[in-house]
Amino acid sequence: MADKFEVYYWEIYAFIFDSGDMLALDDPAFSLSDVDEAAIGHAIYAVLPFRNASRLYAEIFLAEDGEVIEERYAYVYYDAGGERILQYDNRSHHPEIATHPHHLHKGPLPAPGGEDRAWKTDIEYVNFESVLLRIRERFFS
Amino acid sequence: MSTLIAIPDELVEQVKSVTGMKLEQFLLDAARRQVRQIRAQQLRTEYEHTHQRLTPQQVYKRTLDQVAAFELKYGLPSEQFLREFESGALNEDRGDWTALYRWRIMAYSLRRMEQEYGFTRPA
Repeated sequence: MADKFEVYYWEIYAFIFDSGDMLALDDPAFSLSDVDEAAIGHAIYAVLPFRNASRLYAEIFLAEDGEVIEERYAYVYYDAGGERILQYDNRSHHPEIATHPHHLHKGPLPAPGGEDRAWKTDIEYVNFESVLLRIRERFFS
Repeated sequence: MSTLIAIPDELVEQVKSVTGMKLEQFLLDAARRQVRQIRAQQLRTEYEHTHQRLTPQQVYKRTLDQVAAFELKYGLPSEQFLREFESGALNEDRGDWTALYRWRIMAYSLRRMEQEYGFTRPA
């Protein structure tokens, strides 16, 4: 079984390095957890700096449901100034959203005590590849 | 050097069901996916030859250290944290927005390794 998680990790790895036109892979802020954490601990986390100085934080816990799935995830995308642009996560704290637990937050972080409004996710199946493709489509096309 | 890729029959059938402008994009995506899988296998093989793999015990210890640091910082046991964070009773740390998402992933990872390998936290 560990093998499936390893394959998933390496496909993410290859996808990252296939996206060098958009990602700043030589930026010192770039980081990706190692394969052993994916294979043994089922965890993958990454900080991906983009060429326009925006940045994506990815936090993923993997599980198996016939195929490897991202059972728990958060993708937080910030602009060059450090303002959040969007956030996909599947914490179960928004049961009112039609795509529960999957949801999307848009725009800057809320003011202290303010509500961080959630929206239906605009990606049918949220995972590393679909989030990166959505960012490419919206901000790099 | 060019890379030759084999196209599986099922992919050919899928292609037949796609028409018009979408066909070009579909073929492009399929080819990219195939190339990426080949590249992933190459990266994996290279890594196997150049890196010493960690044992489950080593990964567990490293994860536990990270989880313990979060518990100390936020003054909360991980199981309670997971309940409260998932339900929304606890919100993100405004000073470090992604920190609790990292703790969440690490806590699930730790729990999984304890279930699969029988590791236990030292008292």
